[in-house]
Amino acid sequence: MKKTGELKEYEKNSRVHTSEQIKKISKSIENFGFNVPILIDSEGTVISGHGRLYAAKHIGLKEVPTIKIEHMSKEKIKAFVIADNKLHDESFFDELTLQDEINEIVKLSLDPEITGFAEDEIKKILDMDEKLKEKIVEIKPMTTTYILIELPNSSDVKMLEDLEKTVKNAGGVLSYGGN
Amino acid sequence: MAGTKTDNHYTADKVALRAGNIPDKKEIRVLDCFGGRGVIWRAVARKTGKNIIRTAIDMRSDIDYVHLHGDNTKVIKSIDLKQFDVIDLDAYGVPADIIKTVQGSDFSGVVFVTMIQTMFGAIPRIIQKDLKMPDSVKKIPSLVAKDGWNIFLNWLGYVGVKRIKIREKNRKRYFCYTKEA
Repeated sequence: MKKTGELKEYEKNSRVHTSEQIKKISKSIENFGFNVPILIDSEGTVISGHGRLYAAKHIGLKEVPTIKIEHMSKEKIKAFVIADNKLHDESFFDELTLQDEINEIVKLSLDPEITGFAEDEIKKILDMDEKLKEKIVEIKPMTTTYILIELPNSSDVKMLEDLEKTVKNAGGVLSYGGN
Repeated sequence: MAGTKTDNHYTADKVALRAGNIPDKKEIRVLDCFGGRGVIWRAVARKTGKNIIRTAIDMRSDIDYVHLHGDNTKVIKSIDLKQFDVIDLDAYGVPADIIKTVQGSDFSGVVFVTMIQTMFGAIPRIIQKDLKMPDSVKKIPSLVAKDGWNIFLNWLGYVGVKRIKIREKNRKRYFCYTKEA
């Protein structure tokens, strides 16, 4: 354990934490406890866990669990600070499994928002049920013939009306277009 | 939704269509021609309790599981389709060329197709050719645009599909049909 006041932020941390996210992390720590220690170097600088540190301060924790990393050089730490954040972005949620799990959490009378998803996101996840009716379409083999007739723009209106009538009488559709 | 990368608003319908129409066997061999991450077939396996053995084709470089790597229109012509029970074309575009290959093969089983019908401005050449549409149709897409779905159904009839089961919403079409050898 280390006192939060003794921990130093990594000077060039490129990851930005929004106040909304800090609130979510705070809620998570209050619900689940501080389960993921903050990684620090030998001088007490945070390598991984800035969001958790901000959240700990936000809810007034005086001490947080830490793990001191001593096997990496300063150069490697520079790259690891980015990698640790970037590699999380590469995964994704299997939405249907997620839906099953959120459903179970709701059934267990737990607040689904402690998972970190906001109310509107949970609504969307739970709303992924079947919406469409299944129907059968019988397909008749080739009942339509397409004919393209090219006419000059100056074609007589009466002639076009007659053509439309003829096509309609044959059960067809006359579509107009131009180029 | 945070952390998700696909627009799967109708995923549950895609899963239900598949779960309700796969062959009645304990073990189902699926050729997934538009590979992706396999979310749908994992859900089908969970829902049906069947053993789904999925072989994916994909040409993206970020796929990290064993798959057939390459252009699906070419790969599908070079493998024995008889060994599969299901061919999945979760395509979004109109996979006319693959459907035609499947219809001309000795594959026997169920074909699932997902497509968003945006094509009929640009009718796939293969459909245009099969339905003997004149080349000049390309110049005037509005002539056929509003009849696009019927043109596609006509073409399905031309390649030997007799009936489809479909779920649809606006221009999104999720359907399947049974192909006999």
